[in-house]
Amino acid sequence: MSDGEARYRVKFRYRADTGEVEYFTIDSLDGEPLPADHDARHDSAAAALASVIERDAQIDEVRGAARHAGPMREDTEPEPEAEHAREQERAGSD
Amino acid sequence: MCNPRRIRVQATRVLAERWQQEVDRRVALSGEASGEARMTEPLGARIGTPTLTALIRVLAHTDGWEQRDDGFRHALPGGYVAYHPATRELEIVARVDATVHVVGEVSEVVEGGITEVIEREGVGVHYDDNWGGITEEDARREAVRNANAAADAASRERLAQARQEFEEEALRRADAAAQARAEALLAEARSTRDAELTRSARDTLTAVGVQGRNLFHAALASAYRDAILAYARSHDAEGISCTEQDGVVEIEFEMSA
Repeated sequence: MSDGEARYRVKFRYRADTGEVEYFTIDSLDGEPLPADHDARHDSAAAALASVIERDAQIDEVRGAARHAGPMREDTEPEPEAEHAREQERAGSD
Repeated sequence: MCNPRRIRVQATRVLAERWQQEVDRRVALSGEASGEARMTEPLGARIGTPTLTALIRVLAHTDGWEQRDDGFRHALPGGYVAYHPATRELEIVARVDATVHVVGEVSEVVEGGITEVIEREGVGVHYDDNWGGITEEDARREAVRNANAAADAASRERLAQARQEFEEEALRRADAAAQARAEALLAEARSTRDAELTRSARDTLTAVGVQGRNLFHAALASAYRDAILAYARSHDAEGISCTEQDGVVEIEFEMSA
């Protein structure tokens, strides 16, 4: 890891039978003390990663330090089986 | 011996006949009818570009997905699912086909006739010295007989020809009329059946959509996998693990940013 870079653990899980991304998290591995711009860097890293699978992904902070790509926008057209990526609320850290 | 003398006589017949003929013709035709219902879902505003790019490669190398001019298509019972890269749309189509059969019939009585004058010549031969016991009167009677025989024969032949030509023309017209009637009935039957099949296709669209989305989600799983792993490798990720089982893709890695 080069100077100024943070370290992250990424986890992704997708179910083809439901068409849902069950979770897509980027968890900071940095220890204390955190740099002043830690949150901004964490959000940026999460957004860059999320853009791989979704445009304009909603990034939410989970209690603790993980970032995860939030629920994808609902389709405007009603569908019997929508292909949404919904993230499970993580009640705690991994 | 004298030279022979020829006596020529004309016989005339006036043909004036009318007749009727019953004509029955049937033409059977078959044609195909179909109905479609479709739904489309735009993916370009939702799914990330790296994933959609990977999706094209996945579809090109997955059994069952046929590459076409406008994208990729996977046949389904009762329709198909398609992905169109140019518009980034997922399309699901339900299709129902059927064959329709019709019969065009013509049944009528047609009238015909002929009015003609038939003239034929008959010849009788005699000698001035009545050689052979044949007198001028004998020769004249012979000429009349020959003329009458020729005129009768010509009349019979002309009448038969006229009736045959009439019958052929009547059948030809009736065939054309029956064909036209059958084609009109077929067009109407196909239109009616198309509308019925379209309603039927709408009823099956939901079920076809479930199957179509299952197939698409399986391909999307591979596309997500490929896109995320490509990102990980391009960012020098470490500890990359990827598992795929029972349609579930799980990826984990560590990276710096």
